Amino acid sequence: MAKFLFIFIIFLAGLLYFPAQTLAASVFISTSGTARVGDTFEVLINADTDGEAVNSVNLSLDYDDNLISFAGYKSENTVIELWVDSPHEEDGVLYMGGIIPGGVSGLYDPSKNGLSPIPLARLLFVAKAEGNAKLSFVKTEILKHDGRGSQLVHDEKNGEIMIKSASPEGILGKGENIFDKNSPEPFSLIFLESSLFSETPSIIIFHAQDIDSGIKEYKMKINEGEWKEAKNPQPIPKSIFSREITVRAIDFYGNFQDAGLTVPGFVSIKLLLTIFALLIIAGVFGFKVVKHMV
Amino acid sequence: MANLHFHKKIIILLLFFFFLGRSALYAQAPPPVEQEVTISAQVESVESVEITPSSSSGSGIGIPKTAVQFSGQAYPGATIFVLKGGVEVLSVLADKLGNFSATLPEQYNSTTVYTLFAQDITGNRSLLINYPLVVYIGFLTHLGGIHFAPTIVTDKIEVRIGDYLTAFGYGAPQKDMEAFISGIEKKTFTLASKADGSYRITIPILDLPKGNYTIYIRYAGDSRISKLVKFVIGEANILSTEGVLNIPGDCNSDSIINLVDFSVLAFWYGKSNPSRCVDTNSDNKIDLIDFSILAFWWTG
Repeated sequence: MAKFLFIFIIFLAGLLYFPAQTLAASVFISTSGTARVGDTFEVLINADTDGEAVNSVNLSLDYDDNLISFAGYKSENTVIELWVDSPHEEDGVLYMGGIIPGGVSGLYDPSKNGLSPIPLARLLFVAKAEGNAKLSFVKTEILKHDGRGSQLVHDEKNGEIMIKSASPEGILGKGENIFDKNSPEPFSLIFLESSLFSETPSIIIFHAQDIDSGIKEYKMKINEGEWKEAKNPQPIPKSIFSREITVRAIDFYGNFQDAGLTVPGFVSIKLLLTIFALLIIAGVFGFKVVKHMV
Repeated sequence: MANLHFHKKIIILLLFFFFLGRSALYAQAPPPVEQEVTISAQVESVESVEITPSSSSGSGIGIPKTAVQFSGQAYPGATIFVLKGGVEVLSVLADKLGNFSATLPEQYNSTTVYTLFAQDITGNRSLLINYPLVVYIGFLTHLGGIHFAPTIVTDKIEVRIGDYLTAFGYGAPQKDMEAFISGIEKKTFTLASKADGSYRITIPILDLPKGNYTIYIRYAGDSRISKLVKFVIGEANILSTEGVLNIPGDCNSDSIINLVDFSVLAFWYGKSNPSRCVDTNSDNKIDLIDFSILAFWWTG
């Protein structure tokens, strides 16, 4: 009887414990399962927050870079509106971090019961060689939409994709960009001038979007100068004269879009011309006075 | 021995019903959201739709072929704004009970983030609520049961010990509400909104220690909260009208949290000794938590 009661208690404890485990939040990787060498394929990063509203994520992802290579990201059908760190690769690890202003609890899909997982990021990879490519989280951070930035406790579920040999069409089209031939969306620049006592310098603000493969980098030039790397926000040093600023948003396939802005200097051309005109008038007047006196 | 066998039977039976009960409990547990998403009508074409009071405002315009409809309760006379991809696409007025319905035509199969917020009759806004929604061509997708947490304003940003703090705003009419003060200590108060949706609560600041606090309002038992309003318990009374609203991350003090504030925060991301106004949680570093707090306060 005692033995039976012991089993009963263990069973009861199990019943109380395991359902709580299955209800936990998680972040997971979804793939199509298979791809062929030469294919560009999507990897979806989803979050099931168990109904909790979240508004910020930071993720890093390791992948088999001898089998697949990172080729960009899509903003379409995902929820992250602003990237603090847009998806980029460093030493074989993918990093990304962004926010969802207003927060989200889940995806509302009328064809499904309850809330569906939140599509956080849609990453693009190119299959390079045959094999089973693993994608695994290195670090994940999800913050609740509670005004305090509390951590959401969650599980991580990794993914994988089987890379098969190239199809004949794939070999024929290899090397040709057929995936993204469109420029990023038109965007605008905002100049935020530093106030007298502000610790933040004057900055140029921009936010470009590219539907097909995402923004890979920004470049900036002042007047007719050289293109230099830029990042939002881009600090702008003060200058005596106004300058023409051009920012170029470049996607992962080299397509680009430019946006321009005139940043005012300390001295405007109008003021300079006025001073110059006054000096000429003063000079002429002075010359006449001196001539009259002589 | 026969008696022991009987006990075993009872325990097995209990186990069976216990397991069955728990399974049923988890299977029937409602999803942790208050909204209902349904495809309430399949619309084949504009012409085939009869104009009914429930499907249009009676202006003679039929339901478009594909559409998204939002309905729920805000505040009496409130304006409800619908944003798509962060851009305002529609605004509607709520009735005397705060009920509203907004229908937005759509064109493509997609997952779109719709953002809603309500503005009460005094111009105070609710926080944003996002609905990432899968839209199907040829369907009217209805998202019902939407509700916004009450709006909130306080009369002071600093309260002298022994004095009073008044919080007021709008919610749905005649609802039980809760006011939460949290800081060094926490306190909860109960109140109710009037028939016009307005509420006002005056809280004596007697036994709370000096320091930084926040106050927020919610409907009794609801998970959705109002904006958090910061205030200080100190030596003097400072009215809200005499100072800036002190919204976290609002360095240019325009009471708007948008791309500009995000970019200023991004400038300081990872840098040491950040500017005080961007360090939303005052921990002397700018990390994802500061961005999360900014995202909570976002107005667009």
